[in-house]
Amino acid sequence: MFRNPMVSPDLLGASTGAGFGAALAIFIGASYYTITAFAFISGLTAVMLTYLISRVSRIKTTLSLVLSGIVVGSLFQSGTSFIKLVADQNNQLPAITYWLMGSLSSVKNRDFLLVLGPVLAGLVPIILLRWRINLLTVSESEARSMGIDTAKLRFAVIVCATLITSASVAISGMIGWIGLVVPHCCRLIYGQDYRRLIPSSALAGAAFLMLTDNLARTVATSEIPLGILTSLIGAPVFIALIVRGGSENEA
Amino acid sequence: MKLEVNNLSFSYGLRSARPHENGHRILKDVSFSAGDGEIIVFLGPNGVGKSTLFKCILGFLKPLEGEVLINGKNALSYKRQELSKILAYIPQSYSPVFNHTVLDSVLMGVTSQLGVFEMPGKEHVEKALSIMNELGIGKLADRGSMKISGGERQLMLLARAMVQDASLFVMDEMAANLDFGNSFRVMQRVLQLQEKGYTMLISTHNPDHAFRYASRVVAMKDGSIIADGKPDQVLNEEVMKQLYSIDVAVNTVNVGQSSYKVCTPVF
Repeated sequence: MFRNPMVSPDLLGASTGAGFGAALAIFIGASYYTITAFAFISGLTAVMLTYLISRVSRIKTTLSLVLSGIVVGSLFQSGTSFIKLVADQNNQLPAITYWLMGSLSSVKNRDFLLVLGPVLAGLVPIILLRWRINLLTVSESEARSMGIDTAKLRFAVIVCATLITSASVAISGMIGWIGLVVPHCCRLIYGQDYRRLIPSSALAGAAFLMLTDNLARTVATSEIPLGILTSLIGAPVFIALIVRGGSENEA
Repeated sequence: MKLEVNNLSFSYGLRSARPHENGHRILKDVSFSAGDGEIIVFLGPNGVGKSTLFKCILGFLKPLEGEVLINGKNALSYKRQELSKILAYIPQSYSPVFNHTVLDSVLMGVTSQLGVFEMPGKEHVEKALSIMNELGIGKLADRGSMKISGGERQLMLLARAMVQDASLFVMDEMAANLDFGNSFRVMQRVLQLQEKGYTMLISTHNPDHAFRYASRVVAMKDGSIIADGKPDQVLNEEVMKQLYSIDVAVNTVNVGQSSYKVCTPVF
């Protein structure tokens, strides 16, 4: 997609956007469902902003996407920080902080049904398009010369990925690292072909999340927020990948 | 396959309503044509507009004036998918960012023949493998495209272009960055494809390639074509000096029973 294996789903600002939406909703004292809805919509808005900025930019598509993703991400991040600053310190601030750390503890069956729609709407097309996504890994000119409308395909993938990310983050909060580490591990095991990489990453990511969540609930007497654990496990795995990957690529 | 480039001009400047006020023209009134089985080698110093010309032919850039006709139809009015079945693009050797297997990389060429949600099937894999065998890279099928040599990678891209069913290959400095042996091996395969009727446009910095492989040479200077014809007629000391601003001696060397011309700078 970005011709760079080191990117993660948050690159375009979906989860920082969702984080801001949730913080805002908690700040104005919204109900549980409104928080979810705010997070979801705010995540979509962030990516839409990123995409629009990159469209009007005169720089190359992928680079401008990455740059505007960083800018939009930090914009929403500072928004979140500001809300934390002005929020009520006794109940709002802890609620926001806890939400941002990510957890599945308050997720109920009804939430599952709530996000099933957007997640499937994103997941099904991505699975069906998975051969074509391979062609986004070669240069823009090559892909176009092979008959691919790269702008359309890239847009479709961004919309789908954003739907999935925003919907998931809306009910779970920000659980980092899985989106970066799991696809990377799958790449090492199953190779670069997205025909295998996409289904395997989706399944392995879900499995890893379940495993970590079980740990989070059982290791200590009170539940550890999931986001902390995934980073704790994810970071060393990622360091190992950088060290290994480095020597591999120099060949 | 018939390619006609008619009075093509191009400028990267702002495309305003007053073209004469635009910036520097990269291409000025370029015309040539190509038919089946021709290898046309483009020679000229860096920045002379060879890549820009190729991008116009591939329909990536919109010319300021003039037109590119492919089988009589303007390149810009083709759908990308249709155009990809006539025209293939082979860039200069580069290291891929992702380590797709060689077979998967070659298979990417069939995408324009597939439905949007379709995957390459068994028949596509067989076609890819037979073309790879023809080019002598069949054994590399399961290797990662990062782990093969630059020459092998260019053969992989040639195979991809053939799988694509294109008949005109646009090769922008296809043999640059390759070592002496690899560039020879790749060019040998290019000659083999010429016999099968493929048409190839190749830009190069190596005039010896033009002598050895070209059926026609197009010499470009400052965005214009200054000579177009058979290598023996076009590539003389005078044209070489005009192109590169150095004195060049053109000599004949005998290799077995054939003789070839080579260029050597004179100090």
